[in-house]
Amino acid sequence: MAALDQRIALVTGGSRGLGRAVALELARRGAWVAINYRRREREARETLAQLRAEGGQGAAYRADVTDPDQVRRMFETVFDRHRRLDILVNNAGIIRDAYFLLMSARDWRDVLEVDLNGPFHCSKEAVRIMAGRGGGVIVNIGSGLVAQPGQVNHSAAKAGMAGFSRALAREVAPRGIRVMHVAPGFFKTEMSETLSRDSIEASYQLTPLERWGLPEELAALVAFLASDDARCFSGQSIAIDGGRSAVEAEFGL
Amino acid sequence: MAVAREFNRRGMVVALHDAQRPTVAAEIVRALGSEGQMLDLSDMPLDQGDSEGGLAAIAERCGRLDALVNLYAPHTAAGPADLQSYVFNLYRRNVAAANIIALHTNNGMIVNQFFLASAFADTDLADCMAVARGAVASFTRILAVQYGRLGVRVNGLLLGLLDAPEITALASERVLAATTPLRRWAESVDVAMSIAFLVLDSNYITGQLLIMDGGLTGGGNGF
Repeated sequence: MAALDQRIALVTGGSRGLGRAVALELARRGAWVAINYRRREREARETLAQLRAEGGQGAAYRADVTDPDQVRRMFETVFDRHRRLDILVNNAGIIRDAYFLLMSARDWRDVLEVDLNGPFHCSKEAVRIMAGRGGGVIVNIGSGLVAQPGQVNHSAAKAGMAGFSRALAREVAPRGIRVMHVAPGFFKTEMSETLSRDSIEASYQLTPLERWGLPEELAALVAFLASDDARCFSGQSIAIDGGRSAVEAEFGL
Repeated sequence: MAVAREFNRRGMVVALHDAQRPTVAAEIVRALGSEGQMLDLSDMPLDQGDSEGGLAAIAERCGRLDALVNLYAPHTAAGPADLQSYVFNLYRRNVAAANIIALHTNNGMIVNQFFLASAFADTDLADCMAVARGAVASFTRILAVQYGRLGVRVNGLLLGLLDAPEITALASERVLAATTPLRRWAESVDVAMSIAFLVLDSNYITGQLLIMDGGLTGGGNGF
């Protein structure tokens, strides 16, 4: 029996990139997977087609995670179908990089909306379902622990996500709900491939494993955390970054 | 034993070493030996300074060495002298293993286990235990950075409350009364699955200290 047989999972931002890899891996391990997307319907359908081609089960749902009403309807639809939810992966995120003095208030707000308010709305619906049904797992995918110039919005949102995860973990543990925070470094996705060749090379130099991570490697971590194999983990952050954060870890990261 | 069984189940050759209780390693080999390849190498001098020679001998006997899992942590009442030799030997063994593993694979792994309790300022453990933990945490990260480019990952596993006879026998009443937010103490199978994940299924994780404590320290406190 696969580790996640009979589990119902929802992955936000599951149409492509890391979210797609996570959705596919959860399905491979036996979970039924709801693939959430906002605008990328074509990519979401591709993800679903690949998931089914591999023998998995799931469906795609359009919802903007920043809109509480859309989020509520999406969770209700999944709940009506399965009467349960075991796994939520808060993965949806956007990037609006700009050097600080050039960063508009809108760049700041939009990133916080999707990266921080989105998990708030989704987790609330998930906890509502999980608490009444013996528990579940929420995995929050943040981002690298190492601060980058041009990303104060991103860093603020992701640091917020770490604190959010710890506090929620403590609050919902008695209900059997685990909350984990995952901090990925650089990964090969459509989003990161917009970087220049030079900055990609520079990032290799700063990473002890001298490469970027593969989406499947992140997916394996999320699948482990979502399974009972990790039943004693909650309220912790795990960096998956090729050792990038270990370089500076002694400085209070 | 749970760790050995899980590796064994996944088809790895497992060399056991328990210099403190050599009969235990022998029993495990007898119990699991038929399920796969399991060697008892407790007579190797891994704790006495010549880790390099011992590990090289193991690699030669098995044909290769892909991973070193250091589960042994000192007695909770260990004094400064014991801990000094423990930390020094563990460090030497880490470096020796990293050098040997790098010869055999570009996807090797070292896991160092230690007590999470030693990170609490208010604890029944001797304060020198915290000194040892700091050292283990530091060289885990530093070796991860140094050996990453040679294809060797180095991670730590910090255990909270473990439901094992040797821990419950040592724990004070205060520790025994403590409950984790998840209302669960880890069992040996949880250690086994976490280490199996780290060694076999986490190619991009290195220099990390995983805290497995049922949510005990999740509220912050500087962890």
